[in-house]
Amino acid sequence: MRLVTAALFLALAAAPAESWIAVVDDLGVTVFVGSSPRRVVSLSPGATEILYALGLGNRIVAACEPADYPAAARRLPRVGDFANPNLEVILSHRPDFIVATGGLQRELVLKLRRGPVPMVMLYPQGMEGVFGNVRLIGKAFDRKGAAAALEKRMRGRVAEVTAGLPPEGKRPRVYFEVWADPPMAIGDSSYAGDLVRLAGGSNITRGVIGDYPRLSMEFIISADPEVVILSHCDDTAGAAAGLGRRPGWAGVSAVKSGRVWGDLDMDLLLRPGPRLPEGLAALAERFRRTPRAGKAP
Amino acid sequence: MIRRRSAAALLALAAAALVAAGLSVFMGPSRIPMGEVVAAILGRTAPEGALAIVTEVRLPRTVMGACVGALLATAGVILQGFLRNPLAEPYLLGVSSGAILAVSLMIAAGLPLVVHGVYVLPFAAFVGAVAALVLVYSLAQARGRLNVTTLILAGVVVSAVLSAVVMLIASLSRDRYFEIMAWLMGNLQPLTKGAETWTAVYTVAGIVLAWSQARDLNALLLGEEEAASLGVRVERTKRVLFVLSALLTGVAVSVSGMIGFVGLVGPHFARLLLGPDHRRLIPGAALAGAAMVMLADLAGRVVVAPAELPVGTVTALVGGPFFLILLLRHAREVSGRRR
Repeated sequence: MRLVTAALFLALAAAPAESWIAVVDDLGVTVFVGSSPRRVVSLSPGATEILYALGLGNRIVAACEPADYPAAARRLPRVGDFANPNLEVILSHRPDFIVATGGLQRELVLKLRRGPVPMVMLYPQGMEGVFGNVRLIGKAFDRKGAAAALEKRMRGRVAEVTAGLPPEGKRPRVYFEVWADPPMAIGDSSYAGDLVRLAGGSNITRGVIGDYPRLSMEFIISADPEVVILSHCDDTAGAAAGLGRRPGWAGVSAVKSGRVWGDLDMDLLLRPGPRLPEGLAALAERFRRTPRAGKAP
Repeated sequence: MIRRRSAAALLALAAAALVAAGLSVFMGPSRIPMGEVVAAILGRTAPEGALAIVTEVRLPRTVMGACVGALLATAGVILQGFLRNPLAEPYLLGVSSGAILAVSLMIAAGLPLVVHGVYVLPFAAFVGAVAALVLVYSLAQARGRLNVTTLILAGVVVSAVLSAVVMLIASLSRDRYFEIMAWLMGNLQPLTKGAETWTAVYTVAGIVLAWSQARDLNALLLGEEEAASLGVRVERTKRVLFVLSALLTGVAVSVSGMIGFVGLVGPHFARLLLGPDHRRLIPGAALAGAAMVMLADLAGRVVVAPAELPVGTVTALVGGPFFLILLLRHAREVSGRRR
């Protein structure tokens, strides 16, 4: 381990200073990237889309599932599923740069960090974080101009969406469920929590610790959400239809008014990439059509 | 005199279970005034939110906790009785793991959980529990006699292996991952209405069945030859007890997942108060187990509210040290006898 570090330092010292670019990733680690990497393995579905949007798609040698946008991404060799990419397959592609994400990939990130290949972990905490990711990729690949243009475009769309949103207190209370049994929600402090806020919703998990807290059923019912968003791995439509049959749920505002949404495009909303403002716009449009029903008990 | 004392102890245990049930219904992450809770229970008019929470969330969960605690503690008493092993317990013997494996196979395979209106998960869990118990029993018996610690060792190993298979199934079926992992730590909140009703029916039936075996269990405590001389059909009784303990565990696991150490703490606590007579011990242990699970679940709901701790982690935190104390005491007794 120490040897690798020492070798790395030697390599750094030997390299001409101009050809290394320092970027700070979402783990707070300063990473030195060799000038304009040519063999990128992307473990972050959002980063894959950012790379394509900056015209860097041809630099990607492999990606993890899901990689379905733009269409060209579908033909990329795979290194496993988003939740469980394979370390050996990643290295077999001889990458000179790896883009990973946090959360489920955290363990893998720590392992990759010990290796010689420069790696950044992109795990944005909200919309601003996604802009930061765009800038970081632009900097690492020496495409600052394209990155700035993309950021400007995204910011413009977000500003359009968020203009004229109702003030806090006039926003619908939202429960955003990622798992039914036991109930797990998107926390207010998480990346998607920021989107709910930006789109004009008020997350019932405000003040609850944890990005994806396991909530007690009683808490959810007593918070009386006016909107329920479902993003399950399986049968989301079935879950939406069955929500009212859960014990204690018949009287919940969202169920009574039928505002249980299991049909939002989660690829747009949950993938921190260039299409995120579109996902945000779709969510905000739904909220706009949701008049506030009443006060929480 | 003895009879009066144990009647008082049984009453005390019943009172403790009632208090635990009361706390479990009156407390929760949403602060509902006591008056509204009482009104909701009595079926009087209460605010809609309070009514739904008390009658559809807290009450079913409390009933589930009581049932699961009673089932696991009764299974513990039976296992301890016919294996003549004070450390026997469904969770430690791998019986729960066998049940959970069967349950996760059903879930992962997407098999129907209701067949002709009958909820079949408990039966699948029962089959898994029996299989695990047979495996542990035959492993521990490999060298002739059943040794107290060998049995526990075999149980722990089988439990670890079966849990690993469960985790394998969970990782392979990604869309059910959290659901299956949650089963490994216990969850008492029923997601379907009415689940608590038939759980209660199974529980009462199971405890009555267990109680009907109390005299035979008492006889077995004296040793198998002595029991036979008292007119007990030993092999048949052992088979009945075997199946009964797996059945009780299977029902508990199929509705709540893995909740450990209840089958240890409940029976030993009851034994301290009531002595070894199974006619009193079985209802006593059921009450103590019910109280323990209801209180552990209450703690899991309230301590980190509005998030939740899985009930199995709470019972393990309480029951683990308890198991160690029993183990040390057993070791001391064995070495004392050798000297």
